[in-house]
Amino acid sequence: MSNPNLSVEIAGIKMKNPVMTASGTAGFGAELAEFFDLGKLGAFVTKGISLHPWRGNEPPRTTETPAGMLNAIGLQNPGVDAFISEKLPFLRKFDVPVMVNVVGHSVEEYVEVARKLTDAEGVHGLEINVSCPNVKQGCMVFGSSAKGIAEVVGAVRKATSLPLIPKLTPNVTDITETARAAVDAGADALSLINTLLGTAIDVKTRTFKLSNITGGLSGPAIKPIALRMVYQVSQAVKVPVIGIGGIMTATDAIEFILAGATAVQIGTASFFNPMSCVLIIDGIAEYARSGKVSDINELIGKVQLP
Amino acid sequence: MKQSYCDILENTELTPGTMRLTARDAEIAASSRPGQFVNVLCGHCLDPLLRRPFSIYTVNKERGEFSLLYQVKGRGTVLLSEKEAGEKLDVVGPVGRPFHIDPEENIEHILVGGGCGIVPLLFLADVLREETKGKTVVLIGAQTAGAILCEQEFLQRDLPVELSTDDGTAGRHGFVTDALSEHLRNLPADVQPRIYACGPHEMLKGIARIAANPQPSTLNPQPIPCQVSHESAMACGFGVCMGCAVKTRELHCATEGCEDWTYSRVCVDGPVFYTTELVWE
Ligand SMILES: Cc1cc2nc3c(=O)[nH]c(=O)nc-3n(C[C@H](O)[C@H](O)[C@H](O)COP(=O)(O)OP(=O)(O)OC[C@H]3O[C@@H](n4cnc5c(N)ncnc54)[C@H](O)[C@@H]3O)c2cc1C
Ligand SMILES: Cc1cc2nc3c(=O)[nH]c(=O)nc-3n(C[C@H](O)[C@H](O)[C@H](O)COP(=O)(O)O)c2cc1C
Ligand code: FES
Repeated sequence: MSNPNLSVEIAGIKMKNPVMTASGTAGFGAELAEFFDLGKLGAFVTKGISLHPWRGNEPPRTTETPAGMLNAIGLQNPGVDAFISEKLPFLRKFDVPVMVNVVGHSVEEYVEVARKLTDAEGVHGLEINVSCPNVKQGCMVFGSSAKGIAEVVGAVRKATSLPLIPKLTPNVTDITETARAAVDAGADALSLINTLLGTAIDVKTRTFKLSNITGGLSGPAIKPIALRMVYQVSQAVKVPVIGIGGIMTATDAIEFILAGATAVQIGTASFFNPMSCVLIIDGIAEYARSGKVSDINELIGKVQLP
Repeated sequence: MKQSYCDILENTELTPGTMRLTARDAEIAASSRPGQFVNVLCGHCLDPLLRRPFSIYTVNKERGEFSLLYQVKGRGTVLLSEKEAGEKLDVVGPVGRPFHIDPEENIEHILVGGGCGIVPLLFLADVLREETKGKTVVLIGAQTAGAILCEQEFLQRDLPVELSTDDGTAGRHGFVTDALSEHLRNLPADVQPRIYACGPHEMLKGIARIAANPQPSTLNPQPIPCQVSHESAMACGFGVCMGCAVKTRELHCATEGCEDWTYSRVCVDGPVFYTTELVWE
């Protein structure tokens, strides 16, 4: 069989394949580019970018947990101006759509960052991060309620013509509520999930393992929850869904696509193996070839009911 | 920096709880510099999930081999200790900023290692011999005689070694920092010292203090260039996650008393830093 079509489209952004990096697990591309050509990716998603530089939380910021990890980085980033002048030119060198993850303490900050990115060359979409659990102000505070998410997405919508992709937090009772609110406020697509709030304790020292006390859980441990939420949300909304959470292999990625995801993001798997994105792209192609699937789009949401 | 599957040539116990692993990978052997490390996948499934960082211990470029020296501590290193010659080792490396080496004459390179921190200093000693004309001395500190690592390896290279133990069971009774102060006091005036240290945080802090202000009464009252290899818990180990943060002075104000600091990454901005670049708390 000839090569299957892996290309997908999200909010008008054409991607060679459905595999993207997950925000905060690929930096701004320079390090991953030592391992593979970033042009192989469906899309590149940057670390969260704020209006001003953020220092991030005090260390220790990460700790390993069973088949996963907790992080409380606290969105350390150089700020939007330094991102545009120092980081974006590197990413422009590659044949890959760039989506910028946007964070803020206030609605005004989200709007200001979005404006600056709209004027910058080489930004294809904005992933609106209303789901980071590791900062005290903003972010997940907005994403935890339908009202909060609508407020941020609505305001950013007015400020930019770029595709808007709010990233949802799983730390809510009903994720379809925030999903619908985001779409009603103008979202072109949705990313989910961000990390689950957790903690870990060292019994020797009787202290918390993270200086921030709580952190976000990621990795294979969260995959079943992420998959369930992607299924629920893709049933509830009409916009494309990007599936994230514990994807380690092509098989995991296919599960998310069958559940309703148009694309997937690879996060913690890149720590396990920096080549994960490429291995997963190759694995998806192999799955399609051996299963006689001529177009990956045929698989989206095609899980059968029992 | 690349990801590769190396051939394990040996993985043997040297002293109880301390292992040496030698592996073949021509590219890693050819491109590694002292102070750099590799990130090793110790398990064989998704748990434990994260790689473990280990300093490069020795390199044999001709044979395309490198070795690690590690202590068996927790789950990751227990699994690593079970690997055998003939198996593959999944490695990312070499990672990080290596020790800066000054090739000039009239320099004395003082290598200070505490506990397991001695590991990157053997590779450093080998490269100093190849690339510089200066003299090298080694100061090793450990809690007790049984915990001293690498003494024989340095002696085999004809390098002067001075031991210190906290309990006095070998060498001088006391901290390696005291040995360093004394060594600096006795240094001839025309010799310029350079310090390279690796070990527990408290030891590095003490060494940073000595380097910043070597005994005012000595013949070398000016600060001594001093590099330390810093450790921190890591998640990605190649610079993308910001998990391994350490407080560093902003480059434009690497001066004493400057309040302006930032978080840098131990894995790729380090692990080697000049003591003047770090904020010591
Ligand atoms: C740059 C660097 C170089 C190192 N070089 C050596 C070396 O040459 N030889 C050697 O024996 N050890 C070295 N270490 C320490 C070594 O990485 C840890 O001993 C090892 O990760 C412990 O793993 P574990 O699963 O056995 O222990 P566990 O305690 O079960 O590990 C649990 C978690 O803590 C982390 N962790 C525990 N101790 C350390 C530590 N000291 N530093 C960083 N992370 C830690 C682990 O990575 C893991 O995520 C180095 C560490 C760093 C950062
Ligand atoms: C170290 C680390 C940093 C992260 N930083 C961000 C971030 O800046 N913005 C964001 O939206 N998500 C961030 N995330 C969340 C990931 O993008 C992803 O949603 C989550 O880790 C689940 O996917 P995974 O299990 O594949 O890692 C971060 C995750 C990790 C582990
Ligand atoms: S461990 Fe991820 S940036 Fe250093």
